[in-house]
Amino acid sequence: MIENLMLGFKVSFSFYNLVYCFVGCMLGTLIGVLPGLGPTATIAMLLTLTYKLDLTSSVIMLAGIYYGAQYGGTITSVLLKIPGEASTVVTCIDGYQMAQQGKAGKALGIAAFGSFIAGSVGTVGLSLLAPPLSEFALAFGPPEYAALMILGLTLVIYLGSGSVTKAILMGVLGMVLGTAGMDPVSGIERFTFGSASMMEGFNVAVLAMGLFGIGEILGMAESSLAGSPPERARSPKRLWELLPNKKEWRVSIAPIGRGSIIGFFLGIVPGGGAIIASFASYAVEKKFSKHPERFGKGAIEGVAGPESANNSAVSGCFIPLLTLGIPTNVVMALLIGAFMLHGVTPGPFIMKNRPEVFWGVITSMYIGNVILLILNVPMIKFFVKILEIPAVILSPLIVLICLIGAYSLNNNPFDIVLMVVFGGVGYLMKKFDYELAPLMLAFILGPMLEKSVRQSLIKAQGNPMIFFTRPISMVLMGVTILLILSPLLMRFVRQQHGRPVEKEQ
Amino acid sequence: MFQRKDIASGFFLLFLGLYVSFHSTRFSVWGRTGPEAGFYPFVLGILMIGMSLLLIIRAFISTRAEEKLKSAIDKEKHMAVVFKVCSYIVLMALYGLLVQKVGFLVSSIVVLIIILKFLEKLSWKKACTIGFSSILVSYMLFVYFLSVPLPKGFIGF
Repeated sequence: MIENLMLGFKVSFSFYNLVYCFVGCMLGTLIGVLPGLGPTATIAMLLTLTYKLDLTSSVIMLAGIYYGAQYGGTITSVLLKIPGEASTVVTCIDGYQMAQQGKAGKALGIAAFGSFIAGSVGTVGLSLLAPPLSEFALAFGPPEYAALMILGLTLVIYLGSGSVTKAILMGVLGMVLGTAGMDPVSGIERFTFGSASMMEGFNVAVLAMGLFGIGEILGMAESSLAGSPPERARSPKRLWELLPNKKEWRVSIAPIGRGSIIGFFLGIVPGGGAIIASFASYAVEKKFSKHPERFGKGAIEGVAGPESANNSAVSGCFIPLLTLGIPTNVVMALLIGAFMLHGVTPGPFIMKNRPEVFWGVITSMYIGNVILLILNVPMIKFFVKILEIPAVILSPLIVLICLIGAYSLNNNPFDIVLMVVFGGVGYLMKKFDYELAPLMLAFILGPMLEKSVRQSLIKAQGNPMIFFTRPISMVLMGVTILLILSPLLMRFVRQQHGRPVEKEQ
Repeated sequence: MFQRKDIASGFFLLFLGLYVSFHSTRFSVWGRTGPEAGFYPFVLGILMIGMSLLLIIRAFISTRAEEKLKSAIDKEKHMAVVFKVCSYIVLMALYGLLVQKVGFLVSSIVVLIIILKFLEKLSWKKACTIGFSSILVSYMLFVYFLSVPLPKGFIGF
């Protein structure tokens, strides 16, 4: 274990990787502060750029962006009641109240320290759990992978926030988009319309840049027309009281602890991630609190818990990625894209074949957390000033980066056109209340699922019971079925208890 | 309001599902060793048809009394938004089609100036400064820092 960590630190302490880690954290915090642009769109845009870099450095930087954004989003949530990131929405509730009471510094301070502690706890958890899980994953054959992916897709759809029907539709659409190109098993071309550019199917980076990057720009274009100028930043005057006092620490320590654990485990679950972790932590803290009425009025636990949760969730997210090669949310899906760009398939073999990547990334997260803690404390004023840049200045830069990025994938202008088309799609999806995440995840998991299912059936000579006769896949399929039936089961249980049956959403 | 949107998108997805299912039957769906190339998209297409029908039916059932017709001002705003968004899309698509022939620098300058000056309504000075600095930054980033070859076009740079 120690040797692995030493190897990791040797990799992550190299000058280049330190620089990339720093850049990732800075960039992450910056986009975390800016509402609208999120880690997903940024990582999508930078994906193509990382082609020129070493794999380890790329992942270190992209990971830094992800957890940096958790830190950054807090700043605007507390100071302006504008969530920089979806995972910091909850912080707006009590954090802003604290700012109104002149305790902005303490809110930011406890958020930063809580995030650091949780991030470290999460990273330790990652270091401890990843190796045994990798070993366990080696026992996974096609049926187990297929069952796991079915479970993952089901969870993603169920944990979405909108209508389930729409989420399923987006998942199916994502899988359909994934079928375009050459069939992985037989080599037949599907949905290529005779175009050579389409032989490999849609490129994940093009899809991501289009849906998230261009889609976001189109959204920004619309809002600047609607005449709703971004709210002017009101930076509070006093920020030097950043250290919470003893009492506040005492109150916060348990939420930080709970948040770290909740976040870590919710990060592992597909469809989970930082956002759900923060909401869950807030709900838990309110339940556990002796004075729940304080929540919403500036309770420091309402900041400490969620902020810790969203950071440790990032570490949790990496576990399925590094051990099984399965993404649990869109950001991880994009990271898989980064791995594939470098010709490496993430999965249980990464620990054995490319340990420097595996441990280098994990140890870089320790370093990243330290960097962020140091960065955040003095740099808050600077970040708030950034907010005063109107969107019109940022949009052209984003547009250019997306356009060039798409072109640089294959030197094929067709990719640019495709990206723009997806940009339109992403924009329309938002207008018609569809979620993007199920689509992206299904796009990545779909082809993997198909390959596993077909391989399994070939192995079982057409007998579908193979998914239920092997122990691991049987358990996974069982959990999936339970999950699908759970709404019906809940209704049945309520009826038995004589309570009125609640109306279907 | 929600309901009309759902019905529209529901129909779109319904037709998409129909297309996917039909197209996938062109490939063999089931063979000796189990599902073949056409099976998976066929099943997905059917699922899509089913789900979109569900969406449409639900939207129809829960349609409440229609709200008052939008006022004329709203319609104007609506058209302006549609125009703006479509212009962005058209411009970016044109960029894609032209960038190899005309070169990166020229295409970027033209597209950015059009966006900044005419769509975002900035002054000439602002549009040019922002436009040129964005292009400079991205040129530095892509060409010097990352050695990504950018198309030169017939102009030569």
